[in-house]
Amino acid sequence: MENNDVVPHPVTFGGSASEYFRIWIVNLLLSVCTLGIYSAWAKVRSRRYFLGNTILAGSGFDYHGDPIKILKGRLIMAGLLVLYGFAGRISPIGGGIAAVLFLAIFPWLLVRAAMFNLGNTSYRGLRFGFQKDYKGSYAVFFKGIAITIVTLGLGFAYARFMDMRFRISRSRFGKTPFVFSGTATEVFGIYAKASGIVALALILCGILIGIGGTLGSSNSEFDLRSVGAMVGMLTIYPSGLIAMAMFNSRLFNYKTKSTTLGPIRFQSTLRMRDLSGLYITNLLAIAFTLGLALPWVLVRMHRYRVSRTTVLATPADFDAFASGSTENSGAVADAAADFWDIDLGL
Amino acid sequence: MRVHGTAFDGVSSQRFEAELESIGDACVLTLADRCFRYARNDVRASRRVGRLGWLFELPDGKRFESAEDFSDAAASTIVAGASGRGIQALESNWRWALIGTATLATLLLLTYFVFLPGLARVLAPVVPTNVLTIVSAQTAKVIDQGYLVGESKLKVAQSLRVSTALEQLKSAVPQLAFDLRVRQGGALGANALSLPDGTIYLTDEAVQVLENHNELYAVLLHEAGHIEQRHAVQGIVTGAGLSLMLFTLFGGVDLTALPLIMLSTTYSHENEFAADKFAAKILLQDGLKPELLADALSRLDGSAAKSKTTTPAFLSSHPGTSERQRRLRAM
Repeated sequence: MENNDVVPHPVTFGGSASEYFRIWIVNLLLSVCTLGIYSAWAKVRSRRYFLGNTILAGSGFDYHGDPIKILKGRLIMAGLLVLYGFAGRISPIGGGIAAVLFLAIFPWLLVRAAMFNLGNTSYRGLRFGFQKDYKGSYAVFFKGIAITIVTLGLGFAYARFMDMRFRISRSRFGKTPFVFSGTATEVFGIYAKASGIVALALILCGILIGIGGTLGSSNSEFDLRSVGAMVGMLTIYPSGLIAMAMFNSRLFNYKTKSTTLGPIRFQSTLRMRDLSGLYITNLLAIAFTLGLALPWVLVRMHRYRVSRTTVLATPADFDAFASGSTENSGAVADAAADFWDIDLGL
Repeated sequence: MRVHGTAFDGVSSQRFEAELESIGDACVLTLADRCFRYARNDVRASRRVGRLGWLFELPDGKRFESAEDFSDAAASTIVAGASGRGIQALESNWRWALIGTATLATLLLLTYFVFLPGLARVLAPVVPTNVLTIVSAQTAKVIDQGYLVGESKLKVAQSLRVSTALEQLKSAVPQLAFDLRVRQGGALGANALSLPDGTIYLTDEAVQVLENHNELYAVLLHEAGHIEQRHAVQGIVTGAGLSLMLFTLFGGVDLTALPLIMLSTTYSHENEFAADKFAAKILLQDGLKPELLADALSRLDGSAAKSKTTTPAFLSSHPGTSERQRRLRAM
């Protein structure tokens, strides 16, 4: 094989549910026994397990988060949440002020969390990173809210598009920035389809309740009104799942297709039917095992996503990245922001 | 001790075949025909997770990975105190996973049935009275604005029945200060409810159904039971505990609303029984029968059934009336 041919490189996941189950249960047990303190170490081990077993072009990823910082961050966040809870109980004004404050710092938190998350993720000895662009984050956030309000919600898809573009284009690997070239039109299409499915389900539900209401009466022993309402409500859940599967698969494919890193391109082929099946079986498995199936669910979701993602590059491309400025702030605030596990979808 | 693996220089993403060797107090990394020498104490070995290989982080940002499966002892010759074992040993053993699951299940059950309600019972009496007043004032506002419509429109005879029952309550439970408010029930129908600071709401509809003042007294005693034992405060403690438990268990997965409601019902059912028991005890002291409360419950239920659909017991804050009556009649 020539070294300068672009070939699809698969991403593989070498972990297994049975192995992760044991890591998960030990994490959980130690977290419970230490009243949550160990959960910071648990998080690092889980991350390292998933990233380390995710292999691209012969190398795995790694996570370097410092558990002590994560723990301090979590304590700060827990304290704030308790304060928020009290403020809300004592007076609605206090709760309102706390909510507004949270909204006001959210764009800042988002940047700090991304810096912590990506800054602590590495591949081939180089760190990922996120640009410290607070101004951009605030602009995207408040523009998004304004557009959504002015268009009575129709512009929400555009707000999401701006958010996606911001998050991806401020990310980097080494010193090479990710470039996002997606268009808003496609995002609108995805939102329209998902809303369509939900709207259809609601109409169907309404019709079923209506039929029940017309045919049934309170005098008969077997009340068709409640049957109509039950069947109607039952159509809502599966169609919600299908809409979610449609939405998540299309959006993920769109994001990977629209992202480039230097000469490297990405491609993913998640499918609605696969995801719907996964979601339904996940829910059933978790419900019937009282949560014990959670590690299995996490592993199969990750494996599915990874197995349908390919990286288009020449073998030489992988060697050509250089390290950037590692402004590893190491601040506890970053770890605190990371409390929300803000997902960057990368 | 010499280990074979791959290395990255931390400057580029290029991958090198490499070897790491311990020589006396030093570590030598050989990569692309160049040797780098480090003091043994400056090299860090990361803790292993699952079957992932050994990883050594070198002080100049280089990184050495090895898929070779060598022992802790061998790793220690490269880095003092290097250990992948410990936690990893627990994680790689099925026996520990099973013991862990069993321990966890026991701990969770104990927390749910013993620790959490116990904590609530210990904390409830300690909460200062002015906190109760603040919390209650908020709830009272919501109730007055939303659920209960308008001033009471009771007839004189009915009002008299209420004041008789209230006098009975005051002399039976002198240690608490009550503030009885009679309102039109609206959507709540025939009902009574209490706030932790001693406020009791009673609806016109309830007074109309409870024709015997002793039955009215029995219902007020039940509410006094909630106030005396500070069930509302206990509910805040158990609710917070349950949320924390569910968050620790299922963290990122958002399934928490329904399980939280279902799990809370156990506590609120227990509180209803406890308030019934409180009322029954005083009724017996007064020479009255606990059945009075059982009968009152039937009447309240009977009037509620007309307006409301029934909620299954496992989702409702109150246990089934028949179960409460069975227990009351047995007292």
